[in-house]
Amino acid sequence: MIKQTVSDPSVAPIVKSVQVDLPVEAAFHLFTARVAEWWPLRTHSVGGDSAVACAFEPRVGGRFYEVQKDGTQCEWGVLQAWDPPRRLIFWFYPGHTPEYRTEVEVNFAPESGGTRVTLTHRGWDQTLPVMASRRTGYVRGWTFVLGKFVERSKVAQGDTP
Amino acid sequence: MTNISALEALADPTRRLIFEQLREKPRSVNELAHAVPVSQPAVSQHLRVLKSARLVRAVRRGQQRIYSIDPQGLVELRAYVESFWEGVLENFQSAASQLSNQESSDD
Repeated sequence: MIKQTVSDPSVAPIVKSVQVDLPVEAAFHLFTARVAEWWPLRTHSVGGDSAVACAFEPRVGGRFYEVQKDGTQCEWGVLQAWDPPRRLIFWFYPGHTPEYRTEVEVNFAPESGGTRVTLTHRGWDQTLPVMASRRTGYVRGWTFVLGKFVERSKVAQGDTP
Repeated sequence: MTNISALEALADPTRRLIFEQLREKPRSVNELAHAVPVSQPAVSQHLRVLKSARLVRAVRRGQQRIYSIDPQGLVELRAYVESFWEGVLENFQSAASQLSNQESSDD
């Protein structure tokens, strides 16, 4: 029997942060209500060139979704926490169904007269069902990879003594 | 895109299926050929692609080569997700700086 070994750090949360010269309220508003103005849709969407907008429904249980040219909406996730102007948490499963979710938390904290925005993407170690082999249709690379990444992490978790 | 080869490798449904089989446990080409609806030569071809993308690796056991998930692939996919968020946050940051310049010029 061949043992698969994957180090723990590979399933640790991914944390990224930036500092912006806006008050916390304005930074939160730009990140959420005005997300379609800056989200890199062409490269970071399910539809790619056919994606025209994305939006949060501002409440717990609200959707984070993409709108395509023909009006089709594609759900990216669902809000789990909505605490303006300090924090939001959403399940993230662009191009998939919630069972393939990971979780993203975004925090807004005052720093040096502006705001520190910290994004934490976690849930790589969650137990998830095996992806059905028929699920092969319309999924762009990155959305697919997010799902696969989760599955790979399950391997990592299962093999960690 | 730091690891387009891993992305491309997994864009193929049969390769995904093979990859999923190896996620469950390491297997030989023969075992894989029984588990997926393609011929053994086709499985071998797919394995070569997965291997070049460092998503699977092989060890020899007697006459057989046993394939398993390559942890290196996980590292690369992780780098991909990191670069995904870097792209998002860079755009957010430049939108914020535009907004902040606007507001200071409005004063």
